[in-house]
Formats: sequence, structure tokens, C-alpha cells
Amino acid sequence: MAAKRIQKELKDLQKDPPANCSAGPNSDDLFHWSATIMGPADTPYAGGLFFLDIHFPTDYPFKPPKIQFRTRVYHPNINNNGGICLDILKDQWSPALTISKVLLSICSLLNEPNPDDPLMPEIARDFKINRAKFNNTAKEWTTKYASLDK
Amino acid sequence: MDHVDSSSFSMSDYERQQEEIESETKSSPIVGDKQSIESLRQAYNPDNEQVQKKINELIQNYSVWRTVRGDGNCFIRAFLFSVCEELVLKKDTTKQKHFQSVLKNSLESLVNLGYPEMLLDDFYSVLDDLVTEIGEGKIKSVDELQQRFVDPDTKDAIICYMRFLISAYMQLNGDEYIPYVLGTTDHVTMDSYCKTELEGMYKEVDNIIVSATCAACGVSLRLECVDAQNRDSTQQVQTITFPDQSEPTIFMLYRPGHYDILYKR
Repeated sequence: MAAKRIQKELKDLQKDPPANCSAGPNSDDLFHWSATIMGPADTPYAGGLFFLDIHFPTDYPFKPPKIQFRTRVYHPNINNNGGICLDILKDQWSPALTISKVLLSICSLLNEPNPDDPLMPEIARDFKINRAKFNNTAKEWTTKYASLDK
Repeated sequence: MDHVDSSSFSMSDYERQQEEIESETKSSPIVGDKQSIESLRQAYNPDNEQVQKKINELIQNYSVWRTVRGDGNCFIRAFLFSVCEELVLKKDTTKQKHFQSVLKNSLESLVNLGYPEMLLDDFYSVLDDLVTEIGEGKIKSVDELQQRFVDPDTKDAIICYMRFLISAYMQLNGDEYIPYVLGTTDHVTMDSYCKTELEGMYKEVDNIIVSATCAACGVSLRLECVDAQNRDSTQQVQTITFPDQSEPTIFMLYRPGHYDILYKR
């Protein structure tokens, strides 16, 4: 079931790629993908290209895929290991969701951080009470770690 | 480009918790063998007089029970197994055709509700094939059915489809269910309730979903509730029938948070 479903999603992604994202298998291992997300415009992540690792569990799609950023991101819901705090990757996962939908949700999370459910409390605090400082640091990190020129 | 350390995938608390639950539940069979109802005594604290009194009552009406794995899917799995078991044993083609049309109609409903047919069809076809094979006599015995229910290619897909089927029914009959949802949960729409509380695998279901499952499939179910509570009644075991006042064809033992299958004497 898992392999068939992953193939189906891959085909669909190639046919109808989501805006500002790409994803596909690393090598011959269908269960291990890499993805990229372009930093959304009008956010401190704009201009950055962010890499992610995707692992499909053997009982996918009954269990959610495991996704983490490989590029460092300064964000209240993304930790130092690239772990992402997103409900649909945990208890709100549904077998009717796809990698494409998940990547779009991660884009939304970059657009709109959720400081009330933070993985990084200090970044969340900056985001809430010192937005200018947050924006500066997030921009610095984007230039330092996610710049396309590097 | 600087990268975060991803030499090994870091496990979140959520994942760790899930794995713990999994290793605990994996020790019990997905669908167990039939056991004498007497063995139920050992499944409870033998020193609890209140519970043992209730089991005495159950023994008068039921001869056998069957365990179902307590992984959050137990109600749906027990329900679907009982429905399929009846189809295997009674070879009632009218009932088999009816169940198959319930499945087919639900897929149409889901597509009309905006669900992706391309993805749901994977789950639908596994369950539809199973029911077809029962109708064609390819699954001849309950043992064969039990094998199919634990088969890796079948076991999750059929439960997953049932969850979507129930979801479609609840959304299309929202008027009936929304007062309960508004009254007992934080959800304000059927859509959000179903997506959050029902469609994900391993989510324990509440009474309203039990009721909707019976209504969606046109099946009558009796629950025998055995807990440690003392009831102010000559009959200690609390019995609930869905739909109310109907003549049940399938029976389950309910302990808080868990369902197993019961067989009448």
C-alpha cells in the first residue's frame, strides 16, 4: 500500500507541482525524499531556498510522514534540529492528506508563525513582543544559511 | 551551505509516545481467536466483586467472546469484523449487496464533499474487494476472514475507509449530530469534528460515532457495558442498543475505552 501510494503522489507532484515547492526521492529509495521550499515573499525568509528531508513510514499513509528542515530556519515552530511543530504532522494527520498539502502547510507556517504553540519559546517571545528584532534575526539566518548565492 | 544536524531523525515527544503505545498494543492480536466467556473473568480483577457480578450476568446471555486490539481502532475493527463475519456465516446475498452499495454510495458522497477520489479509492477498493470475495464464496470461513483482517495489505486500509464512510454519513446528516458536537466538544462544524476526531487512524471514537456507524451501515448493535460502577438496578450490566429499540444482530463488550466482540448463546 505504502509504495503504491508514494508512487501515486510522486506522479501527481510531477504533473501538478505546488507553487514554490519541489519534492522527490533522493535516489532509489522511494521512502526517502528531499524537498525544497522557497521562502515566501514579504516574509523574512524571502530569497531563501530551504531544504527538507522526508521519511515515509512503512505504514504510510496511515501514519504521517516524518519531515524536518535540513536548512536552519529562525522560526518559533522550527527547532535547532529542523523539527517542525505542525499539527498535521502529528495527531491531525489524515490519510487523505499528501506531501504536496503538507509542503503547502509548511509554506503557510513560514508565512504565519504560530507563537502560541512554540517549539522555540524565546523566538516566539521575540516574534510577539519585538517583531523588528525577530525579523532582523530571521533575515540574517536566511542570508547566512539559505541564500541561493552560496 | 550550513545544514542542521540530521544524521539521525530526531524523535519528537509525540513520536516517542506513539511508539510506546504501539509496542504495548502490538503484543495483543489485531483480531483474537474466540474464547470461552468464562475467560473474561481473568481479563478483569478477580477480586472486584462488582465486576464479577456483572460477568455472571453476561455469562447467562453470551457463550463466547473475541478480543480486538486496543489501538484506538478497536470499535471500528470490531464492528467491521462482526458485519463481515455475519456475511460469511449467513451467506445472505441481499445483506452483502446492501453493504456493498453502502460502500459505493459513501465513496460518491465523499467525492461530492470534496475528498480526493484518487487517494480514497486505494482504501475503498480494498474493502470493496473483501466484501466481493465474501459474496463470491472466496472467503469461506471465519478463520479465513480473520486472516484477511490481520493481513498487512488489508488491515489498515479497511479501517481507514470505514472512518471516511462514517465521516461522510455524519457530515451529510449534520443536523442530527451537530447539537452533540456543539454541546460536548470545542468544534463548531461537523467538518472540523470529523476531520479531527474521526478520520485519523488510531483515534478512539465516542458514543455519537458509534451511533452514526450503525446508522450509516444499517446495522443494529448492542453494547454490554461492564465497569466497576454499582448500578441501582436489578440488572447490573448496562445495555445500550443502537439504534434504540432495534433488534441487534451484533454484540460488543464495552469497558471504558475499549470494545471486544461478544457472541450470543
